[in-house]
Amino acid sequence: MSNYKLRTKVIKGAEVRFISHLDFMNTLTRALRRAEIPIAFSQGYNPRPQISFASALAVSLTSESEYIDFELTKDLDPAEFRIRLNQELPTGIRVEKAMKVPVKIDSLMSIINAGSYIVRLEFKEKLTTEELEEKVRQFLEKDEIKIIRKRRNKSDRELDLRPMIFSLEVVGVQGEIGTISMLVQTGSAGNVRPQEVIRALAKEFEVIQRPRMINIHRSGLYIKKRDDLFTPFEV
Amino acid sequence: MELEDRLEEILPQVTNPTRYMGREVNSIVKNLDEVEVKVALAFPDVYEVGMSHLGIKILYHLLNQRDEVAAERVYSPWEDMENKMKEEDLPLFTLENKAPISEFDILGFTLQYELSYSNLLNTLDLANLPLRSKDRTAKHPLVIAGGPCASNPEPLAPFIDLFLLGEAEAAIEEIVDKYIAWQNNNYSREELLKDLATLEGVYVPQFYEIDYDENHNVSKFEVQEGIKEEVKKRVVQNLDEAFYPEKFIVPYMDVVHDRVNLEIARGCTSGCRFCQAGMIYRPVRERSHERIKELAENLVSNTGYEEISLTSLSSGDYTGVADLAMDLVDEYETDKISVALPSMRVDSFSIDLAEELQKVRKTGLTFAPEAGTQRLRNVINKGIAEEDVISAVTDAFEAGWRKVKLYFMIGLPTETEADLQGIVDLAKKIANLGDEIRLNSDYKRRVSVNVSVSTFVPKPHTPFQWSQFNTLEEINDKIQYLKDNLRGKDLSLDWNEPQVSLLEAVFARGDRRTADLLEQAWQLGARFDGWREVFDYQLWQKAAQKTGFDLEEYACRDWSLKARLPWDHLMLGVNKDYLKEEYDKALAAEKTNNCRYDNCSNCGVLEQLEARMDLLRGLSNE
Repeated sequence: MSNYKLRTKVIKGAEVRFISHLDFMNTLTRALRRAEIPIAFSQGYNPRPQISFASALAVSLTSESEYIDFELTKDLDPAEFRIRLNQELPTGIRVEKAMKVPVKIDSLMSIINAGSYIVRLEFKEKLTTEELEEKVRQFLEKDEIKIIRKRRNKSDRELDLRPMIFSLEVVGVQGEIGTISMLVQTGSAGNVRPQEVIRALAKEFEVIQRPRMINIHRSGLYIKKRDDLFTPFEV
Repeated sequence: MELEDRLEEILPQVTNPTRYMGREVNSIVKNLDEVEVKVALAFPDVYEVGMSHLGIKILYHLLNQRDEVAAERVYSPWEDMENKMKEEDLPLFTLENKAPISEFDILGFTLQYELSYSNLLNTLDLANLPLRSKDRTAKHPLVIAGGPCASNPEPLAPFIDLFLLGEAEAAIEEIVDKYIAWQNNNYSREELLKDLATLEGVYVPQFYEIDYDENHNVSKFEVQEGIKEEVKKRVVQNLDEAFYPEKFIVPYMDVVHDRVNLEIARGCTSGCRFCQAGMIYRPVRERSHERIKELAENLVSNTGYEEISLTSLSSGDYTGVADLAMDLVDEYETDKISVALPSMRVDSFSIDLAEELQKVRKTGLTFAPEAGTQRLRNVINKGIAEEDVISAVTDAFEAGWRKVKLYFMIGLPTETEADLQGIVDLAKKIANLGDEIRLNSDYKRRVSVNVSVSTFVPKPHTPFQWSQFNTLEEINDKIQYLKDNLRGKDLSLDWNEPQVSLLEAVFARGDRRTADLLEQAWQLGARFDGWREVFDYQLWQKAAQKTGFDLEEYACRDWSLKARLPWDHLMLGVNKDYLKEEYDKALAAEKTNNCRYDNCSNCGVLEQLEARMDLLRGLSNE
């Protein structure tokens, strides 16, 4: 039996930012069933719908670029798939784009290696854009940025963030509220969480100590080849 | 700042923020300014427990069918959220509109277990409402409660304006209608309550004055002029015609029963003498196969759930259960939707059926012999013989099941050491049997037999309502006996905390004086008493001391067969004479037949409620 695969780009908005990755998967599965979309299931005792993600999004983050592959048993037009699924998805989750791809295409998880984020922060005191830019510049000049990562059921691990930060830029500061964008390594070869970058930055500089992260937004996931970025739709 | 915006700031700081988020698929958010009556439906436990409850689902969708009514949900915030809400001075709110509970017209609680009472008080407090009914006025919501614990609601009498006995979907709309009439006519709160008290099933405790003597017997029972002396529960006569929701809310987070729960029947005639549900949910009524299939189809297409669970108190008794289950399996197999049938009696028929339903995935099987010897099983009228259990587990092991869970109770009336030894013997026999079958089969994995022991708590409106509750020392000795003797390969033992059972026993048969104890314990910080990791017995002891209670003395006291019981004015259908007769037969270890298959046992429910047993193919003895 030959199946079909659709690659999609999905928005996870503020309305659903507290649902976990697993809850997100279940929500999709149930929406697929309500929409009567012919999703393929795994074989075996415990059949699972064939849905695969690029990279799990942590709780409380929003995203405009969740890439998800759906394996279908029927050849469904991507536009129809998008419309039918969107009708059944709760507010806050929306399929932006869907494209037919070969069933045997490399998995999203294996190709994605970079993620971009926009972080809104609230500082303890007022700051100018120039001041923050200077701090970030100093931060990036460091040879290494060591952090301790806590791991569930395992011992803590020390790692160097610096080589995994591809870029870090100040978008702007207004009073105590600043916005920072970053491009960091994502995936099995090395993974950085945006919170870790902010915490490391805060640790370095007194003035922005313990800023409150108001919102972290995933703006993109990419396949980075040298200095070029490609989206999962461009492979 | 709007409550919703403030919530956005708090939620990242608490565990499981989804509990407080709402916005689930199929939840109903109305404009509260455009309705006449706002009802908050409260389940006094956390979201994932409360969201699994069928009763609230029924009432939520039934009430929301009416344009002039908005029904919204509220659950207990976990401790971290409660602390945050207090820090931020945030009142308790509903999930739909994030509206403060205090702005609602009616606040309805479901009382599923006694250990949720402290959460009920906490709900009132977090909603900024006075705890006691007498301190609330017409500007506060009308506080009502129903569910199984409303069959003895006396411990909550001072806190609740009215209790609804029986099946709430049969009466809730009448309550709402009377409320609307009251709103339009603007008469006093007391007149509203008097008017509501005329409805069958409605119990307004403030109109009943009850006092007790030093032996805890009812010494005074006075009913206000014009108020009925006895309150009779309400029932739905025909399940096919009764309302059943078809658009269940689909939670984001994993809740306890995250599936299509489809109730196939109500009531049970097995007549187990310890079982409150078996007594208070009579008569038995079955939903037709056609209606169930129709509901299944609509529920699956509206929710997208991957499992349909056919629920009732005793599914094996349901007429044509195998046909129904197999029809559903055939219908939904290709969509990868599974069909589950919990609450099956242990017999070979149920193993065959379970095998069909589970196909290849053989998770655990649960058996509930309840008592270790035939004598004690006769006492409790659990119609199950050891041969039945043995042949059923043999079939199960042979069919490849590896995990068996056995439920037993300790502290049952007339229990002796022989009965405890009976638990040990039966469990060992089953474990040995499993190992033997394993060695003669292709299954490599060892079997596991888990014995789960709970302490028997006497419940109102059951034949054991006069039974003594064991002392803590007795319970501890019995658990120790099992720990010492129930050892061996493939065996494991679980038991619940005796002090938790003691507290349950205090409130299950508690009278109005326990209200002070409850309020005191809540004030000292009691919350989530049914949660092992939260329950704090010392706190309850302190509360008991302050209010002049001896918890153990109160829970373990003798009960007189002649005295008026604190809940005797509440009629749940079965006669007190029947319960007494059953109690006598229990002490003589005599069984009573299941009236579904045999003669009527004269429990009185049909006469009292002018109801009938509604079986799909009629009674077998008709």
